[in-house]
Amino acid sequence: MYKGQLLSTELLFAVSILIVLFALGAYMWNLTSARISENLIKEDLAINAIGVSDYLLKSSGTPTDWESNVSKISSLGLSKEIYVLDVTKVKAMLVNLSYNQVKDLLNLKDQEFYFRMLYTDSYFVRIGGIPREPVAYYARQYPFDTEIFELLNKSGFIWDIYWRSGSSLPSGMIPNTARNVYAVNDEKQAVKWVIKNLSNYNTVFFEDVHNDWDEDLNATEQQALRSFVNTTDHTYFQVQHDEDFLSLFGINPSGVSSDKGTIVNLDDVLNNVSIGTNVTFQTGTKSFDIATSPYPIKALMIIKDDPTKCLFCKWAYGKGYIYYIPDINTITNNVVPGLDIVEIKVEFGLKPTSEASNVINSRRIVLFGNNFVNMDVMIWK
Amino acid sequence: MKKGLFFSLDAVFAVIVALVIIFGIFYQLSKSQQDLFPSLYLSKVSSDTLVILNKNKILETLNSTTIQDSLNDILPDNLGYELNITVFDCSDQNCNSFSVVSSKNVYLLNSTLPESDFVNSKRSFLTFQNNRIQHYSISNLEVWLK
Repeated sequence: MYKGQLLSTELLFAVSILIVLFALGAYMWNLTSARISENLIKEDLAINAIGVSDYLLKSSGTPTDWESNVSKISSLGLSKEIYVLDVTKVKAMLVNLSYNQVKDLLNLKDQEFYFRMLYTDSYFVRIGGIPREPVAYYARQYPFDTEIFELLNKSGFIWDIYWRSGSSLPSGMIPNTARNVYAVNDEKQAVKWVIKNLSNYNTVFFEDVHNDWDEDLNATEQQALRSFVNTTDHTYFQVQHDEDFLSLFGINPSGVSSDKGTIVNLDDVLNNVSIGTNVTFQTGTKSFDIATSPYPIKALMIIKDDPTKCLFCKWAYGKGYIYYIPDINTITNNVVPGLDIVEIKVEFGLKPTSEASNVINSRRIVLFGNNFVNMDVMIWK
Repeated sequence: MKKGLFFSLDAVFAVIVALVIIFGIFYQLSKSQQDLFPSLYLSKVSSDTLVILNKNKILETLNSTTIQDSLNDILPDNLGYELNITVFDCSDQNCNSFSVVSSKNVYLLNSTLPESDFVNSKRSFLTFQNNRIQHYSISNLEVWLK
């Protein structure tokens, strides 16, 4: 009896321990298998993300000129040579291919896909228009001479406004999408503020500037504005009023004036308009002599019937560009036909939501034009 | 009583052995399933960086400042890097052997070196002068999370 009892207690004890161990084992099995399957999903997504990004940046696609006829595309590649993306192919994907088409081409059946390109300063790459934000915008008069204000206001750009005709904006310019407003009733001060803050911007617009550059800006400020354009790929864009302000860059207007222009070339900022379209500007608009231009010049608009004189001009100035348009406030609807500072933001697909699980971002460094650019391929479920 | 104690100790010993085995198995299993994406990402960053610096001929300049400016532009702030470029010259006219040109070597380091967990990539490239090979160089870029 005692012996039997002893064996029962022992058995009970052993079985209890076995059950505890079994339960512990089962719990850990579940935990580990859940972790393993989660990791397998992540690994699958990571392999896909890296594979897709590799393919996009190393392949031109099939056929290699698929962008000229997207109906014939059988594989999607974005490069013109490895690690150098082709602007035309990227644009063709954004404009001519649907999300589902791209998913099929990349063989992403049960996964979602998001593609974007960012400059190394984290701002979106844009194709066409003015490619680089943030933007500084200087204005003097409302409601006239604020065409660029209207374009910026609906652009989605990050931009700041510098208003030189009062300590606050006119009511017609409020609300707006500007990040910061700098307002002062002092022409000289407003321009100095822009120049002081140049390091915050990639593009500067001066609309209706009346300053005397050699009197209002000291030598350091003048040099800062020149360096802003010629040492990087920044853009200086001036809309009237004083053509002589461009002399700061060594670009002097010719003695010939005309208010009649003809569009002769298209550009990133001048699209969706026919070459040969005639435009009327403010009387007394000065032109720029094309033959004697100190820098490579592209005439977007010339004086009507005088191909030697430029009215809407683009100069390559060092690594950057300078644009000039005459006064546009007398044109119908205050709009130069075809003028567009915003075209395409390089972003495609479904942006992961906060509920998305296992978002894998394969960030690759590529060349786009002359710039280093981060190409993000996000794959998620 | 003494006999019972003997059996209990035996059981405790058995349980400990069983627990050690169970934990050991699961530890090894979970270790083999660690997320490899971060190191894969670093390896892509380092190889991509060398490729594009080579593509736009920045490496060819062998100019520390130019290369450093580009690296600072390309690599995110949370990454540390060490770049070593060793430059070789042909020792004879037929370029059958090479010798190191120490004066042209480039060394860049942007933070203290990590003790582990860094990834490195290598790329060799040529520099030309008057349509002839001037130097043969090997670049070695190590990157790590700061």
